[in-house]
Amino acid sequence: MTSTAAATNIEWPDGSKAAATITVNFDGESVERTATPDDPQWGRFSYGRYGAQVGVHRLLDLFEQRGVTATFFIPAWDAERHPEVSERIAAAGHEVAGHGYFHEDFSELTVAHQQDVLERSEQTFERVFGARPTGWRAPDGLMSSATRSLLAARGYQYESSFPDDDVPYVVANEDGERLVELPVFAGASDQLFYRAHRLPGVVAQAWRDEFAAVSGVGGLFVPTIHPRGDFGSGRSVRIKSVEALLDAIAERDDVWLATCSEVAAYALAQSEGEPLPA
Amino acid sequence: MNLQPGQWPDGAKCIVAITIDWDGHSLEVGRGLEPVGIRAAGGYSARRGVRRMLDMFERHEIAATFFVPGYDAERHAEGVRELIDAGHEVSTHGYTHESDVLERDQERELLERSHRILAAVTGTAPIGWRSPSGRKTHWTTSVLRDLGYRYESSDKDYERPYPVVVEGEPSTQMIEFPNNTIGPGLDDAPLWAQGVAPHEVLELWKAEFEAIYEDGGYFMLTYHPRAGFGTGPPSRAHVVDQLVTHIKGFDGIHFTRLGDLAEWCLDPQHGFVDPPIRIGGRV
Repeated sequence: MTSTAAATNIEWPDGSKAAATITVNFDGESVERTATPDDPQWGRFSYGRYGAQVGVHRLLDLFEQRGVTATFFIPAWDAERHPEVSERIAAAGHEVAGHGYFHEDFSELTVAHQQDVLERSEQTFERVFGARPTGWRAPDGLMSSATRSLLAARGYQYESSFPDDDVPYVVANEDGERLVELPVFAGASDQLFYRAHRLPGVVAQAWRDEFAAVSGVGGLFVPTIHPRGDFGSGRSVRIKSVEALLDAIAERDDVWLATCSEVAAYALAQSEGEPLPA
Repeated sequence: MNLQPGQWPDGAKCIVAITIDWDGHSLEVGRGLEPVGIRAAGGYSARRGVRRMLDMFERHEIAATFFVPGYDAERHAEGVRELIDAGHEVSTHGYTHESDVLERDQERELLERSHRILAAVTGTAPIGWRSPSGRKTHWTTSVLRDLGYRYESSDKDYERPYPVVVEGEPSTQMIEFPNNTIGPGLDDAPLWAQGVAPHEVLELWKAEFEAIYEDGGYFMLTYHPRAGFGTGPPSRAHVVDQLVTHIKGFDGIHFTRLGDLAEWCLDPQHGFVDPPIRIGGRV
């Protein structure tokens, strides 16, 4: 593949040509609760519950079959509302990371309010998973210019919301506290396609092409999967596309498949020079 | 997740429920719009679409479930009676397809009014309801219970029928038939509205059916006999025709009206218990 190879500036471990993570945005009933606060969660506002009752179990079954360890970004309220799901995710050895409490829009919150939501979410993770999260992704990718600094100050290792690079990079806040950014891309998320009612086969093809292109430039591939019934991959017909995605990754023994924290730890160890401002 | 296929009626492997929301001019009228010009697409249901469906179902020898807003039933009583005469089921779907959350008293009044209208038109009290635009409140199912309903079909949170939640408790007299519609595309409206072409819709519906056939065995399709976002026009009705032909090629298919399936599920003899893992609604 011809490429703009200069785009990447990271050497992957063990001579790997590229890296990949599997990420899941749990996005359960908290999505409706926040997006439509005046509506009861019945009828067309009940797709989030499908993700918790059906979709996530399909994903976990598939990961189990394939021996894949994924990173689940979970709104804390959803984690506590569905303890049987949280327990299953943790027991299978998947990584769990923060994703708001009620899947809030962080771009609309004051710094103090963001602190409150982070604190409350971390306490919930402690109750549900026995530990505070070390990774975070902004709900709907929305955050303020203060958020990364806050995350670094609160001891997070990585965050994964900025669509601004092909490889991880390190930032630091004014106090020198570091945070790894694991960049995302909308074209690697199921929701872009399913919101537009594209066919499951189209999504499988898009993931394959996306993976081939990103790994072709030596980048980090970060596909995002939702277990929901509407814009997610939880339905039986759509799970087949996730399966195809895992197949495509498994076929490449020169690509390092890792969890987000493994990639973040590696990126931190590799980084040289002054980090960018958070 | 390998939902265990239940012992469906006739020992079937897969239930197929074809459900049609009539949604004539009621939809535009309910939104305060004059049903003229581009907003007249609902008129297609009564003029062409419903008749086309009746002919197709007769040819395929299958029975379907029609959800008819009271406003449309009042204006097309003869057309609604034809559905009954042909062996199909007629259930309620709002008066003018109210898709906003209503005050409790107003909602009760409209549910009762639609119920009375359909009972008068068809000669039989309806036993099923589907929320217009998927809008349902905490108190909707209490009214349905009082009216003696046996099922409702609005939620998108599970993949098999389960007891309807009434006042926070699973009911023993009413079944929920989840209709996983807008998001997955088992409802025609968002597909046609966003320019998905007939051959793509057929491909999607076949793929959904084949996956469900292997996992859960509960396939419900929802579409509208109107023009505009509906499946009434020839090219689109043909998609349903081809889908039904495709489905009939599989073993162990049981086409059902929802009322029949509700009675079967509610009969304790059949041991059909598939409770929701979690009772829905906002907390």
